[in-house]
Amino acid sequence: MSLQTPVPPNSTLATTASSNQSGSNDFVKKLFLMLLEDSYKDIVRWTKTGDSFVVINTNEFTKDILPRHFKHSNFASFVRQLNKYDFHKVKIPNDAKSTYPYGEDAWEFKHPDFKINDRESLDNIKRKGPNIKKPSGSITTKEINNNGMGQIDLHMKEELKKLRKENEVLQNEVKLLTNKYKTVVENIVTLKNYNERYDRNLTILANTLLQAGIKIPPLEIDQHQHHLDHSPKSQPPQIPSQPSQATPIPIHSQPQTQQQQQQPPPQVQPQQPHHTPVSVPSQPPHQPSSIPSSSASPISTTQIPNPKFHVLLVEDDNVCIQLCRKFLVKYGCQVTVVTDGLNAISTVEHTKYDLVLMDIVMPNLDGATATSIIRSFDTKTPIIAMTGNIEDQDLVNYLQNGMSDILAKPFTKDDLYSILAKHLLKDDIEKDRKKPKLE
Amino acid sequence: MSSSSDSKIKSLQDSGLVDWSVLSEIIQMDEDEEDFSQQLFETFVNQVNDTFKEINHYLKTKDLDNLSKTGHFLKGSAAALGLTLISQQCERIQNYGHKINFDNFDIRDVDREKIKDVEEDGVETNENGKNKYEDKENNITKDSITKDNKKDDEFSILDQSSDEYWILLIKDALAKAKSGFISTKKALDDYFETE
Repeated sequence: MSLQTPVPPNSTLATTASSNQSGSNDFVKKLFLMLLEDSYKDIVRWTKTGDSFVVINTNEFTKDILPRHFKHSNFASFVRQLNKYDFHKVKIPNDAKSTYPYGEDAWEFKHPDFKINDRESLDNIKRKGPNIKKPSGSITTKEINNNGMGQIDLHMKEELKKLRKENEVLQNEVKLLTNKYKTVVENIVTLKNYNERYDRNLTILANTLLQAGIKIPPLEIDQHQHHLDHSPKSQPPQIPSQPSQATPIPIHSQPQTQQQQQQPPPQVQPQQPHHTPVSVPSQPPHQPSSIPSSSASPISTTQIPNPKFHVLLVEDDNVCIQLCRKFLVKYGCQVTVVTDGLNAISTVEHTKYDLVLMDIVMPNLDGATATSIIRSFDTKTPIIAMTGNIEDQDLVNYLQNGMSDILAKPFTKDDLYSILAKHLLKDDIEKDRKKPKLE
Repeated sequence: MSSSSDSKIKSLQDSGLVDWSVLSEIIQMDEDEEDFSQQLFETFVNQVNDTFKEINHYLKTKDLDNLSKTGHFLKGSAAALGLTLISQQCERIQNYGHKINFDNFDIRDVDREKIKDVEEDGVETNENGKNKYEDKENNITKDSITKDNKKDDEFSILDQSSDEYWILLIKDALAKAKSGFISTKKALDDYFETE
């Protein structure tokens, strides 16, 4: 059988369909025309009711009529053809056989749409599907199915292969993009460092001019617009707020009640720390603005006498900054505040902190990404995520980015202190990292 | 503490506006630094006024993403101060901005009168803390408001796939956050006056 060879089932279907279309009704129409011939009425004719036809003499029919009207050479093939068009042989019950007007050898065929004088209904008569080639047995259908399944299976496998390949390509692209993203972020950080150095130098210059009695106009926030030629190396950055210089015992010893000595770096920020386009960043009320041009400084350090620890607070919300700083100072920490992830990275690069408190949602760079970058050069400093999102998935994400712990927002003083104790005192016991003179 | 401040604390606790356990901890910080809590609250008030303006702006531009971010931002500050009611409404803004109806709020419960005021910019409360919306109640003549009136009829047919649906929910949350802020500010102002 031709079906044994792996012919796709589609092809068989296609041939059947095409033959179906061309000769779909020809056979039925021929049949109809044949029955119009009055001369055949003794051999083949409509029954009295007109809803079936009868072959009265099969011998004569096969010999004379079949070759004239159809291609069929024998009666059985004609009957098969009728079956394909869903004609059925009318069965005569035994008790009715005696009264059957067409004799015992007659074959009566019936189709609901095959009626005398009803040409239009003929169009409703359709050849049945290919599966109905049943006479040769049901094995063929099975074979077709098996064959079809094999084809589908093969098809699926190919699809799977294709998808796997695509997936691989996509994964590689994601990897590539991730790498590129990291490089871009790192470059931004470098750029920002350069920018900051420029800004600092410029401000130093401005201060010197001021001190020398030279009046200068209020500086724009956008300082790089000034055409002042400053090589970053021409002047050593003498930044009072730079924690490396501020860490040793503060020069001015102050009474406890006024420990909130703010030393904003004489530095102008290229971007507002707050993400609002509309609002003016509200300043911490007790922050003295020594330089009129610097509205909100990205780095500010709160010094206290004999600080036990130095903590970097990365947070963009003024309310949280003030509150958290207050708690930290009370705990005995010197607190440096930066307001976005980029500043956090550059600050940690320059200065060693005992602990970093990191907000997650921040302008410029989020805390999770900042942490993962900090981890590329600093694996030891405890970084605590401060976040209101404490879904499991978020927590896993934070820890995967290299966070040491999580402090759920909002937190109480005790929540904060227990985290501080956990990470700061542990260090103490492990290794006496602190400067002995501070003890 | 004087007995009058005790009663003030009691009324603040009973107001349901604040989480006293959080707020009291902040007020305790005044021992080290006079007026610390009051200054902190002032910072918050400024922030609220700025943020409400921002939210109004994003409502106009129908910027759901930034609405969510701004809601999250203010939620953090309010929660840090224990200002429960405000932080709850901000949490709604945050979630609705992400098209999450986390509290199964029924859009038909949107207070249509109240959200008209949301169109107004900012929440500049008067010195005496009086709710300025009370004054405005009879003064609704703005074009934007009449436009909104027409929208009212479509409230019930808005479905979750449209941004308008979420904008409307955010307006509701913002209206409640604003009135919550006014009540909270009044309660805290009363409290600080007697300190």
